[in-house]
Amino acid sequence: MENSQISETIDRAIMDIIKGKRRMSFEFMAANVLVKRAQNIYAKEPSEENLYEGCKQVKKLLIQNVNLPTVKTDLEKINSMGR
Amino acid sequence: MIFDCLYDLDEIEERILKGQILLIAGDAKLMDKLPAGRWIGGTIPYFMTDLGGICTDKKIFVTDLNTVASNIWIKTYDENTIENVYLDSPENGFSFIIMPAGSKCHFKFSMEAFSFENFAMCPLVGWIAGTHLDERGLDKPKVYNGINYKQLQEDAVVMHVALPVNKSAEIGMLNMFGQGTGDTITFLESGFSATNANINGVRVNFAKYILENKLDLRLPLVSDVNGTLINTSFRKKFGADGEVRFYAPVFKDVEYRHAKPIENYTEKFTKKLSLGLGVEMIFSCNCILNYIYSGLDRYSGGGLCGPATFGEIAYHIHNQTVVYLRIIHNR
Repeated sequence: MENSQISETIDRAIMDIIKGKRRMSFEFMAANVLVKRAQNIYAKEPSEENLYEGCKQVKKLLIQNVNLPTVKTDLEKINSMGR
Repeated sequence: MIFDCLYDLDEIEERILKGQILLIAGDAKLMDKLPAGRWIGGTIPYFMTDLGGICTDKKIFVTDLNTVASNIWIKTYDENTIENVYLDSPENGFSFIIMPAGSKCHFKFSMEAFSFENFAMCPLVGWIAGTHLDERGLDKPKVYNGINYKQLQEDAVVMHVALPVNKSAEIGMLNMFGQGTGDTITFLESGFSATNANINGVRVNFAKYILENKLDLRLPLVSDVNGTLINTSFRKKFGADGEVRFYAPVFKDVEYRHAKPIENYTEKFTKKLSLGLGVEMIFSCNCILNYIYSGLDRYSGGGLCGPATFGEIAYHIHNQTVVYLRIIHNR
């Protein structure tokens, strides 16, 4: 999967996960951990800034590790959430 | 060598002197004799091996990174600098950390890792060093920075390992425990001990609650955060003031439940492990409490070799888990 495929749809899905609107357990452990942190930060202070920052970090992590099979699986799952 | 991963002292001395890149675990009596070189290590006499669990002060466990690493750098962190551990990580690779149980660094990392800059952006894997359980309170756990040969009782040692572009590192974890259906437990403060807790919203003395409800302290508290189950294990003995003590911190306002008991733990563990966790695994560690409570000292096979530790690190601290590191060959 190319980096460009980590699209706006994925942004929205990640933000929904951070906000707790959707639930997803990532295969890639680092993503799970980072999402958990983003959720905690957002729950304490539900600002747009915290939401975007959390999303940005999760997305950066996925892009950095796009070669891993677990990340490919997660991206497919996220993509299908957005459909 | 008696097992695939345990070696005699002289073999390891020779390999260190040849300049090999090694991660080492062993009893302090042996570790203290190792020469300076490209290695880091920590004290522990308990190991999982291909032939089962073993407690020994005669052999040393080694993970060889020579065929994996393209570059390494070793750093020591104290309680004030540990927050930089993720900033020092390689762009492509992993960082391997060892810290002594009960040290200032252990406390700081356990409580604050989530807030460290660059948290989880690079794999950080490792373990908490300990001593023989009969010696607790006598000997202090230690970690070793091989480069300058320093023995450390309060600090963490980290080997940052860069990988070639065709390889990636990925951390995995095996947690057999799930939340039970009992009371919801929350704590008033974050920390390694708790005097009081809220049980279903009602404040009680936690030690009294444990005794009255006959909680099996071999089973951890489990929190469910975003579908990820995180264990916090009990220490067997309460503190001097009757406070309940833990191997990792509990966090204020997080909801915990006592773990569901697991029948035939070893059998289920083996089954889960056979689902392919061993593929490309270069390191694993298993909690000492799994080793003692769950019969894993008698477990063998599955390629699960490594120290049985006082805590596992996979980005942050875990208890009663198996943590492992895989090196993936990118296609």
